Amino acid sequence: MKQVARILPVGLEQQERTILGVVVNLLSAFDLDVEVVDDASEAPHIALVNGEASVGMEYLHSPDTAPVKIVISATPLSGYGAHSLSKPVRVQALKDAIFELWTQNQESIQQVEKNLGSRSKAKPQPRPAKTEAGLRAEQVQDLMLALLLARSQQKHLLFSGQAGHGVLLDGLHGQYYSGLSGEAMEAVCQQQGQAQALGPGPFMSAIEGLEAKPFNDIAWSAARFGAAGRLYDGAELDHTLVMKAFPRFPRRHLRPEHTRVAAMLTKTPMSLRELEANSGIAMDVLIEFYNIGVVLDVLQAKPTEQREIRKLSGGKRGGLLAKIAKRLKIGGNT
Amino acid sequence: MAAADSKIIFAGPVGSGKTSAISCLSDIPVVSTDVDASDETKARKDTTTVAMDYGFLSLEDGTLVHLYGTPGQDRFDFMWQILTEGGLGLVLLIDAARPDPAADMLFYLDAFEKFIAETGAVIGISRVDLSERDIYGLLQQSLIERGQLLPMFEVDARKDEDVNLLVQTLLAVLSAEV
Ligand SMILES: Nc1nc2c(ncn2[C@@H]2O[C@H](COP(=O)(O)OP(=O)(O)OP(=O)(O)O)[C@@H](O)[C@H]2O)c(=O)[nH]1
Ligand SMILES: [Mg+2]
Repeated sequence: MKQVARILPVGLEQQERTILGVVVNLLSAFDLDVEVVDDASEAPHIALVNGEASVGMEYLHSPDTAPVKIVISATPLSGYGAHSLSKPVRVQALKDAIFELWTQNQESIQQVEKNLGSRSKAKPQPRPAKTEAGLRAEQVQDLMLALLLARSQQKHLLFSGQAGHGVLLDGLHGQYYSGLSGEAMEAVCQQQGQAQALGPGPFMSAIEGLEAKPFNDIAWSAARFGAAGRLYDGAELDHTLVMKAFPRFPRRHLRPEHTRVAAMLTKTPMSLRELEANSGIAMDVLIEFYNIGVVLDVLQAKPTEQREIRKLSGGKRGGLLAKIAKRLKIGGNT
Repeated sequence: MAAADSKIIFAGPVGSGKTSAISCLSDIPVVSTDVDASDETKARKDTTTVAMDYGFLSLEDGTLVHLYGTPGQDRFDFMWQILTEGGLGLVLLIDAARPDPAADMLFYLDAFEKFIAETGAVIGISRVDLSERDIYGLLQQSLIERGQLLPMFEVDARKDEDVNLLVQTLLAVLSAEV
C-alpha cells in the first residue's frame, strides 16, 4: 500500500516549488505519495524550508515544527535538527533526501500520526496517483517536460530557453521548429526555461519559414536533463509497456541501458517493475526511457490484471548470454 | 562444435559488411572457409561446400561463440537453413547504399523467418554515409507495415563499438524470453 507523506513548504521560491512538484510525482513512482500541505496545523511530517527566507527562519525557531526538516540554503546550515541541502536544489537531491529521511524517521513520523489520532482529526485521504491532466504549461521549466506535455495533450507550446532562445513544439505531429544551431539547441535541451501554450493561429505564424524537425532529434538529450524520473501519461509502474516501433536511437546520447530495455521490450512487453527486476537497471533510468518513448510515440502503457512480476528465463541460455555480454563489455580486439 | 559452444549468424546482401562486422568481433582474422554441409546437419548427407566467413569469440571459460557470415549470393540460400541450426540469433546487415534496401531487408526476413521467430534478430543499416536517403525511416516504415518489431540501428560495420552494440542488443532480445 502506498504511504502518504505530508510535506509543508515554508517560504520556498517559485522555482523550488516547481522542483518540489516534480519530486512529488517522482516519489509516487517509488510508492510514496506526497501531499503538499499549506499550513503547519495540518500535521506535516516533513517541512521543506527556505533557509534564506525570514518565514523560514521563523519556522525553524518556532516550538512546534515537523519531525523532519529539510533546509535549503546557499551555504550549508547546521543545527535546528534539520537536513541541509544547498541551493539551487536539484530534483535528484531533494527526492533522495525526502525518501531517505522518510524511511529513517518512521518512529517520529508515526508519533505525528498518533498525536493526530488523539486530536481526533480526520486522517487525510491518500491522494490518487498523479496524472498529468492538471499540469499547465506555465509550470513547465524544462524542455523534456514541455515535450511530454505537448505530446500527451497534443498541444502547441513555445519553450523559451535562456538568452531568449525559443523552440516551438507541435505535440500533434511530434515535430519542433527552431532557427537554432545544433549547439544552441543542445544548450536549450540542458537548461531551465519556461513553457507557454500557444493557440493554432499564433503557432502557425511563429513557425513561418522554419523547418520542421522530429522530436527524436532533441528528446534524448532533453531527457538527460529534464522531467527527472517523472512518470508520465498517467502510467503506473505495473502497467504493461507495449512497444509500437523500435525507437530511432541517435548516435550521440546513446545510453546502453536504453538500448537494452528497448531490445527486451521487442521480445516481451513488460511493466517498469518487471524491467527493473529483470534488468537491474535503476527505475529512474527506466522511467526516463519510458518518457522518451511517450514523446516519440513508440511506447504505450496499458493497465493489466497481471500484477506479479515475471522472472525472465532468458531462454535456456541465460548463463551463456551473460558470459558473452561480459566478454563484449571488456571489449575484445582493437 | 563442442557441446557448450554456440554461434551467431551474420547475414545480408553482397557488400553489406558481414566480413567487416565479424572481423570486429573475432579473436582470429576472419577466414573464408569451406563449410561442409554434412558437419552442420546429420539430415543433409550431400557434402556441398560453400565459402563463408568464419571467426570466433572465446569466453573466459573457454567456450567458443562461432561467428558465421552467410555467403551474400542468394544461390546459396539453401545453406542458410543448415547454418542457422543451433544458432543463438541473427545479425542482419542491410547496405543503405544499394538500390532497394527495403526489398533486401524483406528478402532476408522471409528467408530467416523461422529462425528469427525461434531466436531473435537485430538489424544494422550499414554504409549510411554512402547514401543520401533516409533509409532508417524507410526500413522502419516497412517493418511497421509488416507488423514486425526488431531492433534496428544505423552502424558502420567496420567499427567495433557499432558491431558490439548490435550483438549486445541481440543478447538483450534473447534474454527477454519469458
Ligand atoms: N563507407 C562505408 N563502408 C563500409 C561500411 N561498412 C562496411 N564498409 C565497406 O564496405 C565494403 C564491403 O564490406 P564487407 O564487410 O566486405 O561486406 P560483406 O557483406 O562481407 O560482402 P560479401 O562478402 O561480398 O557479401 C568493404 O570495403 C567495407 O570496408 C560503412 O558503414 N561505411
Ligand atoms: Mg564478405
